[in-house]
Amino acid sequence: MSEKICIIGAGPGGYVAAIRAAQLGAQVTLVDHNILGGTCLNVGCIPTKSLLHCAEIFDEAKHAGEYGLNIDVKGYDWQKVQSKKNQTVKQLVDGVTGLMRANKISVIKATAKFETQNSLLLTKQDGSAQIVQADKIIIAVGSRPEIPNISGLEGNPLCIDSTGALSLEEVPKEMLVIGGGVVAVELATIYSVFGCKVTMLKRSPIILPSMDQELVDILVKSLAQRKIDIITGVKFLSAQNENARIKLNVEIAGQKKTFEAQKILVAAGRRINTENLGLEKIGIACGKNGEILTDDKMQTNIKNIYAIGDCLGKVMLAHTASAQGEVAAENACGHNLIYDGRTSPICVYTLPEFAGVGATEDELKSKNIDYLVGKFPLYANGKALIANGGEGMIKILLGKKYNEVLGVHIIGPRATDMIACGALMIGFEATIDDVCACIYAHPTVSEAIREAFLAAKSRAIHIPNK
Amino acid sequence: MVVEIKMPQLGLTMVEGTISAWLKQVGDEIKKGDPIVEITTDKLNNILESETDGFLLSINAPEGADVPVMGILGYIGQPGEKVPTTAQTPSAQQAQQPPAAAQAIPQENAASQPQAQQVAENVEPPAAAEVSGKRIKISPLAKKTALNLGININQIAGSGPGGRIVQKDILGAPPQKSSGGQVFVSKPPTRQRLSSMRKAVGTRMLASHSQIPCVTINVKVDVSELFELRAKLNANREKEKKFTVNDFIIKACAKTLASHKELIVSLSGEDVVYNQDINIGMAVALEAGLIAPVIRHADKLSLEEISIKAKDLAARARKGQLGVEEYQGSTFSISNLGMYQGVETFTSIINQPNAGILGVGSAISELDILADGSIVKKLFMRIAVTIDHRLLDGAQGAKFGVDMKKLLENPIEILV
Repeated sequence: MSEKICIIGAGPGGYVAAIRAAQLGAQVTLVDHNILGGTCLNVGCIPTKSLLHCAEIFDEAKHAGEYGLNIDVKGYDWQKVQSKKNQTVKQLVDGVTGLMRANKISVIKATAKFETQNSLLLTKQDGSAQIVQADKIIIAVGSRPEIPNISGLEGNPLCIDSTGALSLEEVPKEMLVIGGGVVAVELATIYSVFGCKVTMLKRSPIILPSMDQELVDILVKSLAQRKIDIITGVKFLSAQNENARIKLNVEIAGQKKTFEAQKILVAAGRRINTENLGLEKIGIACGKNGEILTDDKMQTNIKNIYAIGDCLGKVMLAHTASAQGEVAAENACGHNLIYDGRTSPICVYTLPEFAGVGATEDELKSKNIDYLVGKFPLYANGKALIANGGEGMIKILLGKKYNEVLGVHIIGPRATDMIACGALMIGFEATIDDVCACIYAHPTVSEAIREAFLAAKSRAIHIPNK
Repeated sequence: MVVEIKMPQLGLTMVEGTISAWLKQVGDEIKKGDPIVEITTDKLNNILESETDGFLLSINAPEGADVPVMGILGYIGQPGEKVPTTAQTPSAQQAQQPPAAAQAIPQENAASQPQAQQVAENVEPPAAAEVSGKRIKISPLAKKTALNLGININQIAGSGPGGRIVQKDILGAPPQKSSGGQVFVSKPPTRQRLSSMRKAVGTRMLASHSQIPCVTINVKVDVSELFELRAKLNANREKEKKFTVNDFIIKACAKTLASHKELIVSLSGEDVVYNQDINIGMAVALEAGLIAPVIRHADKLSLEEISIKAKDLAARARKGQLGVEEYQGSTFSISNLGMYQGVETFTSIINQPNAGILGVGSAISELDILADGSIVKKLFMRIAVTIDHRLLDGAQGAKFGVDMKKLLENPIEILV
């Protein structure tokens, strides 16, 4: 008799958990009130990257003359940009639908609420309801953009969140961005390339706090070159509309100031979707923001219920949710797997790309861990020079005693693809000797990774060592 | 048909046997009953005979290998027949039958979960990699850490993917006990750059040692009288003005050299340089290395003058206050380890461009047989004359050594 597993939420956490559980022989039901693929496929990772790719082509076409190409760029057709994005999203959602079918996963479009710890009440859009029994339940309900409590923003048609920013009917002339995280810088980059004057406003003094700040500085310079203004230390007061424009009243260093634009994009955090699940009814332990508490097997305080992804309120990344989904599925099927997030990279899709895995230098300092740093500027790397003029840097952090890889941080062309090799190093507990014993193809940007390691020992080849 | 050659069970208690010798080689024709392999257990030797006709197709357990009972030793069959690809090596066999230590780890997944086998790569219970020769999966960082902490990785169960040993397994490992119950944690050596002085000493010593064919003549000296004389002279002297044994040695050496000037030569390219001044380099041990300040014209200085000069040079050498000219220009050197009681004799390295050096041991009480056959207790010291055999011969060294012995044994002469 196979295990009956019900998974709530069909994002990159839930559908991956569903597939793995099905592979392990479970009878799987996947419930979501929305389209398969969750935030990632529909209103997150994939659509932003599609827009960004268009932006990148547009940006390169505008600079084609520098490469001797006579391209006459006649602007863009925003509707086509959007439909290209929608087409990619649809293809991927169809792909997931096909995977569900192939794995014999029963997909139900409904909202779910706990009745008991073994049963869920599913309510479909048409109001019909059914009870589903399950031996194990995996909660993967994700999160949604949060509108901060600033008067005049909630419900304002000129105020959009990241979801709204992906389906604007036209590119606004000016846009204010509240927030300085990954979503904020990515959307700021996209819209600035398409000619929108973007001003980023952030409460805290730094942007991208989870990234290595030395490389963030490089990105900040690059954003400035794109005429994106970044203003930090902002206290938000109120917003109001005037003549189809939105005005944002703020206080900066004690001075009151008003910004105005056609749109305000709010990208200042996400709220966890756990309110209507009935968690309290069955006594699932949650934190103060509704985040579900689990152990490293993704198990909640109720042994047959697991939770993964954004709704844990920790790392809100698709690949983290997927990894946790596999762990939860394995454990729900009776195996014994532990989630280890050390190899989970963070990627920022800007121009140039930015990615990091492991500890940042600030993190090592705050934990009093002795470390060595190796850095390699990409202007000294042939492939990077060709690709983007050599903008960027690779920075690596090693434990001082054993020279093990503690962190790899890359800003530059293909950073988000290359970071996988940093994740491997950390996962395999590689030391500098192992990394430097490998041969990196020439000419590639990845050569610079080895150079950064060599630089930590003052033996980089293609830069003078200090 | 391919037939397996298996380790037989030669006794009720036999668990494994050792291959002591293969009596057939791969390719040899074998008749039923032919002896093929010799096996040893802790109790007996046995020759395994073939149970079939054919050719020896493969040897899977080399001589010296320990193989568990029923483990595959090799295959017999017809030429061209394929040996099974799943042929198990002795170590693989051992892995299938883990020794007691590994069996002791509860295989809870396999026992309690019906689907455990389907995802063996994920749920494999951590088995201690006890079997020597078995491949041990361990991360580079874990390996370095284990080496540093002196932890035996053979006894660690890995918790990483596929049972790989990761750093936390090493850090969580209890200190390992030897059979005596004592815990020995080895510490890694530390490392430091050579000081510039150490490097300079090293370079000079290497040059001297590799360029000079040297010979050392050890001479035994009765220093009973010398020590008595020194005691008498020192009796009324202030502490810091007391004569050291070294003062007498320097003076005696300089005085002897005055009549053995052949020893104060230097080699310069194709030339011999005949030095005229008796300038004695006296080796002073410093924390950072070694230096030999020079007492110039030592033959012309009184014992008193030598004593003052030697004390001053040694003190300033230890403080690093010597001028360059003060440790250059020696024509002969002395290295005195006599203050280390029990040092009998040693060969010094010649201080280039000198051609000779005197090594001085400590004074040791010994019995001596006098001419009349009576036995008396005396103080003896060994002096070792080391010379550059390119310039000097053993006889010259010996003559100098013996003359210096005579002087030291008649110490009043030193003062004259």
